[in-house]
Amino acid sequence: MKIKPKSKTTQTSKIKVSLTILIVLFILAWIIASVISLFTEEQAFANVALIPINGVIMPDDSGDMFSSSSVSASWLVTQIDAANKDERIKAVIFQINSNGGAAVASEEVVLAINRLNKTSVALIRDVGASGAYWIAAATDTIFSSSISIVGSVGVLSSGLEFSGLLDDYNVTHNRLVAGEFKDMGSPLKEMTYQEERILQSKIDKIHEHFLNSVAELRSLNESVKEEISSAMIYIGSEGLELGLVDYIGTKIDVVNFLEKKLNISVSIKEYHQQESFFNALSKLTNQKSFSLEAASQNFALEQSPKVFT
Amino acid sequence: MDLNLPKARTVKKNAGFFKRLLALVLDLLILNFVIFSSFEKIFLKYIDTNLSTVELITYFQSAETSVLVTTIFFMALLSLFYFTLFELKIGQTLGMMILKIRVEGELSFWKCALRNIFVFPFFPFYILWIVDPIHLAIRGTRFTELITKTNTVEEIHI
Repeated sequence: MKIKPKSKTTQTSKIKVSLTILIVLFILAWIIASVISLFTEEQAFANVALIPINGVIMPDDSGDMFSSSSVSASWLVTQIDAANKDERIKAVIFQINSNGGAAVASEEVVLAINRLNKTSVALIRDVGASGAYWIAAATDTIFSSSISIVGSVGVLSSGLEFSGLLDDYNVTHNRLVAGEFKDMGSPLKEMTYQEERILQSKIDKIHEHFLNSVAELRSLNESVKEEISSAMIYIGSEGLELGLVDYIGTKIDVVNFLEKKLNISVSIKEYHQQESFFNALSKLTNQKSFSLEAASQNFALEQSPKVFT
Repeated sequence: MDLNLPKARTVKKNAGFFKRLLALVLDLLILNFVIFSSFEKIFLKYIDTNLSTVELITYFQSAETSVLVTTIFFMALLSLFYFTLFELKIGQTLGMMILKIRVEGELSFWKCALRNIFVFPFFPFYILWIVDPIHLAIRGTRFTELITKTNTVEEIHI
């Protein structure tokens, strides 16, 4: 009788055990991966992106701790470009609930939507005013409620001035500037008539650019353009008459519209911006105690009044 | 004729840092083939490979990540089984086998699992990615080896 050497037996046994473990793990991995794929197939094949635009539109996620909420233009542009590159996405819905925000930030989003080579729809909920309306105007179709707030195609650049307060408390502001208009709009000194005219002319130019862009994007006639140039707000039904809105409807109507237009069964993938601590906290308290406007050089496309029902 | 030569001596010592590292890399390559490849299609489904790193991070922040987290969990669980079963059954993983190092100590399923719990990329386990190498560099054993009273050794024949 031949007896195998012990070391050889151990080696064979090791190979057998190793192969068994590897085969079992491979089969388990394959089964688990198949089950996950099966359960997620529908979700993975979402064909419509929904990008929410809630709160003040800011260039970056720089909402101060006192503002109720903000949305970053950089984040929006990244999402729009990502949706544009994703071949599975056939359309993008912009769900808007915003009073507007910074002029440049709003325009960045408008330009990103112009680059989008997919069907785009804006769904204005409570408010889609000013910069937020500009964004809506850049989409192919605008839906809103009959009582949503739309329009407000204007620019504001208001700010507080503390020079009188400083005088009252006998505080001196030592003005040291090189260049006559360097501290134009500073809250620490009284604005001169000339400075006011200069700033007003800049605001007018931004307003003209904003108005022309909205009129072009919405193909508005001269009379409507004249009408909305006052930065008036309109409710959805008025907006429909003026051509600021295409349809009165809700999210269901938007889905039905897209299904008819693109001949697809809509499956929505919703994008979310990560909230800052203060935004989350602010939502918890759900109240805006006070807001301090930044220096007047920041031109804003924000509609302040809000209608609550 | 009896030469009366000295008997060969075998000295055991803690496996070196780079031998362990190389063994881990080899194991990861094997895992990539045996386990990770099955999950590849799920990742490809969810991640647009054309996205830049920044866009990818933003995507992970914005998209529905529960499926990806579940997938990563199962991949880590199977990897843990790989390390645990190999160490329990034959005292070494395939990577260790190639590098001729092995695990010593009273091995049980839970001890082997605890030794390799670092494969889970979730809190608090990923703290071990920092703690274990530092402990290994300073004390010559991993922190989890200290807890489980096990060791990874190599044999030197003199």
